[in-house]
Amino acid sequence: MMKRYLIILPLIIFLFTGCGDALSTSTKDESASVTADFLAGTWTAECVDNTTASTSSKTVLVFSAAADNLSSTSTNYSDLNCVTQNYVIRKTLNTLSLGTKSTTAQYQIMTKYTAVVSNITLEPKTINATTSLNSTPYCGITGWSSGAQTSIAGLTCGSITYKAQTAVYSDLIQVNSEKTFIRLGNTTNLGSSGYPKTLYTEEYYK
Amino acid sequence: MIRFRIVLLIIFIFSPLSLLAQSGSSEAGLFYSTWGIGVQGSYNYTNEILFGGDISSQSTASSSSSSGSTIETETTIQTVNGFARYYLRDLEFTDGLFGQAGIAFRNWNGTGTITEDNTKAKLASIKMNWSPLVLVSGFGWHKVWGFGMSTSISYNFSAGGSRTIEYTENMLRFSDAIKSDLEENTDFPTNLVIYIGYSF
Repeated sequence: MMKRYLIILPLIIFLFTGCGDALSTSTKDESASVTADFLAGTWTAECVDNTTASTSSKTVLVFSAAADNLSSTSTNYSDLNCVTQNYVIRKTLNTLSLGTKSTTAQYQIMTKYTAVVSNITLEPKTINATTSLNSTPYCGITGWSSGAQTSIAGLTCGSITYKAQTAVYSDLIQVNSEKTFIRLGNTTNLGSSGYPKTLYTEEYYK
Repeated sequence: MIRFRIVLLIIFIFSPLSLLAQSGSSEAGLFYSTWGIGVQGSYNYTNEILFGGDISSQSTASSSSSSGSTIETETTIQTVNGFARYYLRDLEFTDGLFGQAGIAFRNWNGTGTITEDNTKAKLASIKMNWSPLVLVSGFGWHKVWGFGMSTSISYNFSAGGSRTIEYTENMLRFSDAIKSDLEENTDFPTNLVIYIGYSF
């Protein structure tokens, strides 16, 4: 009888001490780094249609060779297939400086950058677009003219207030680990730090 | 009708009971467990000591989409277990109760990948591995009927093993909450085994 419990007792002790597997974890950061060499060149987004408004838009980003200047050209079209130009918004940034990798509140890995606004312009491409802009008047400007670029830096146009010339521009860049596309921050949704809180879903391909 | 069923159940459980008393007898059967479905064989060395072994396997694959991304997971759990049992046979009320201990050889691994739906870009992934060798001990209850049918239920604990989880972040960081949730849900320190077999 005693012998039996001498066998059972160590078993019970064994059962309740140190059961389970010892856990060890590691985290590898395989996110791609955003560098000037990588950014330099032309990045084009796909045509995005707006079926409600029966319009579409397409944005092209051009980073200079040293990636210290960025020119962003967003063209709005009066059709769904990016064929007939309606108006063009151009944004030029200078002294672009890449920061370090960071994370959005949604845990997306991205890189912060800052730049200085050189200019932001709007160019109506058609008579209809010009008439529409003048009738509002859009951005408080009444002298819109087809084919002429007008600066809208520092102005409030509809629900968007554009940065003034020489103002510091803070944005985000996300790149996929295969380095085939980039995304930019949603500059209409800024956090207290001045950087966008979220990223646009639109991808730019080289 | 319910009383009749209960009486039948009581008769079925407590009547023709054989106590595995025949040294040298064997049995084999199938089992369902936390670690998978398998086959088990055993040999009654004495009335109180049994040597057994089992092999079990379980593979799962799942895919779920949410918020523009897809999570795909795959796990493989294959276990070969060798054990010895000791039956408490001196008191009538403990008859059939046993304690067991043994060694399990494991081929356990799992992977998970999160991919963006529209671009197919890899957002993050995980890789899990368990150590191949682990000690397993537990307790249970075993019953053999006169016509040869045998059934048992046991609850086992593993000890001395280890597991590693490797997180790879491509476009997405793993939050601490996700990590702890994952680590908790992929820990299988216990194994409930429900066995049915035939004694011969």
